[in-house]
Amino acid sequence: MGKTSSAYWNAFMETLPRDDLVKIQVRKFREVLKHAIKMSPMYREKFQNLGLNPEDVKSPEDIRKIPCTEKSELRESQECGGPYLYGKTLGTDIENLCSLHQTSGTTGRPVYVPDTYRSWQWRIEPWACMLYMMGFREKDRVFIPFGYNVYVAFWSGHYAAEKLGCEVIPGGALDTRARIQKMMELRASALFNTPTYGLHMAEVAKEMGINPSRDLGIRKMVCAGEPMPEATRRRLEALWSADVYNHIGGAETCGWAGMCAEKKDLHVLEPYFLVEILDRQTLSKPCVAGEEGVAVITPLFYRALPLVRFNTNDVMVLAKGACGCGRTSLRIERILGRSDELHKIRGVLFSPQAVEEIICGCFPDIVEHEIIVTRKSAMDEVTLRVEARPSVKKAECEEIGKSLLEQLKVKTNLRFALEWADPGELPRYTLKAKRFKDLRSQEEIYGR
Amino acid sequence: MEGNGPLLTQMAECLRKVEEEAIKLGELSKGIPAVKKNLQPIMVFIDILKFHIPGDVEALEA
Repeated sequence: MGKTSSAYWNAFMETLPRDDLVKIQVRKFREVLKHAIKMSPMYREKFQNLGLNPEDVKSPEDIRKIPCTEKSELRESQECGGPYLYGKTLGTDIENLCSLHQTSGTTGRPVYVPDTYRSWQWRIEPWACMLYMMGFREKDRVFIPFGYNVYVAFWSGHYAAEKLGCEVIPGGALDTRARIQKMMELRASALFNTPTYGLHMAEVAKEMGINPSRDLGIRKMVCAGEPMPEATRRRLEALWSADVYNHIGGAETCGWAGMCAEKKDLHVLEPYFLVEILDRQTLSKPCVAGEEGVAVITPLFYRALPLVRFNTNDVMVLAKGACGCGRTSLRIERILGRSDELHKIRGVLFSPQAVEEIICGCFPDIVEHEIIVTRKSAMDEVTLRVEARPSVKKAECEEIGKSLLEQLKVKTNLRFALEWADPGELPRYTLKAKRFKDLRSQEEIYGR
Repeated sequence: MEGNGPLLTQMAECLRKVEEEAIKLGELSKGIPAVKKNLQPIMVFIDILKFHIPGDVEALEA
């Protein structure tokens, strides 16, 4: 583990003074806007009533006057008919398309994401920049333990790693044990993963009598697909003896931020993207470092599905100060999750990530957990179900449980009931883990 | 920025020549789909190179 040298993909761009960076972004934003109005019926209809002239956009303040794009708008515009799947959202002629992916559909009907050859290469390019920043080089042999399908996750990572000259091993169509054996056989040195699956693979390897840290030679891991609290990242590092890097992205926007070798904050990949962190209530005021806000993204080079100020609904906090790596980009200090993943329980705003952070940070004997919220006699009840390693004894569980409940109370301001599940009882996930179950009805929560 | 300027200008000039030749090749090869399709990646990578070799450094002032 440690820092890598010559860490810049393009030293000129990555260390550009912020004023110059912003000038490029404003200029590229105007181009995106012109393209969107010209080619996408959705944006033409949306902006024509506003009398919006792209040439009038000359500063970040001008950009903030332009309405954001919601995911629901993309869905509605794709559902509105027409001969093709993409409805009014397409930003190119249909004959230019070369591939189709879609969002995961976690929050509703998936959004279809078309690509031309050009737009696909512009998806791969920022990913390549990010992998280089993380220290990926020609000598790396990257194992990707997922079945590739219509969901876009890891496709761009695969091609970006190829672009850097890494050897890429697609590890789909195998179960976890077979994947671990294949990684050993092929001496994979790096892994693209979800945090949840990274933990699960380590657990399965141990069941197979394989110590992932000693026997598996994985020295770099990129996690995507789910929010990863710092404690989870550190646990993965300890389990695998690897440098574990966090990354943020979405199917619509591509990967837009990742960690550098410092492994502290996530660098926004500027100027590939214009990223605004805005106040959650009005989306009109930029947040300063340390404040929680929602990420609004404009991909500046991606044209097949143009996006103008796309509201990701992801809540995060900008980092303060400068990074030791010398890059001048904005940095994300913490990702709190989607705004619809923050829940009100007994009047307290609760993020399930807080529980994951405590468990992964302080309780290595707990391998899986699940949070269940119910309502009894108009009172919210929160139950945490946890599963310990099979080797943990009952008396040890009692000690662990006592300490866990104390920490939960301090960190979340909520009192939890604790239940121990049998080994293997709780579900395991590979992507988009669903460890939070709200069994209260909507009427009970909102009084409708 | 000042230190990078002359080098970027030279690189941008090389890129402009490559682009000109690629466009010329595209015009000459009309009717040969294999050339047209294989030129497509070249044009896309020229597009990406324009980002990495910004000959339009002066455009920062715009």
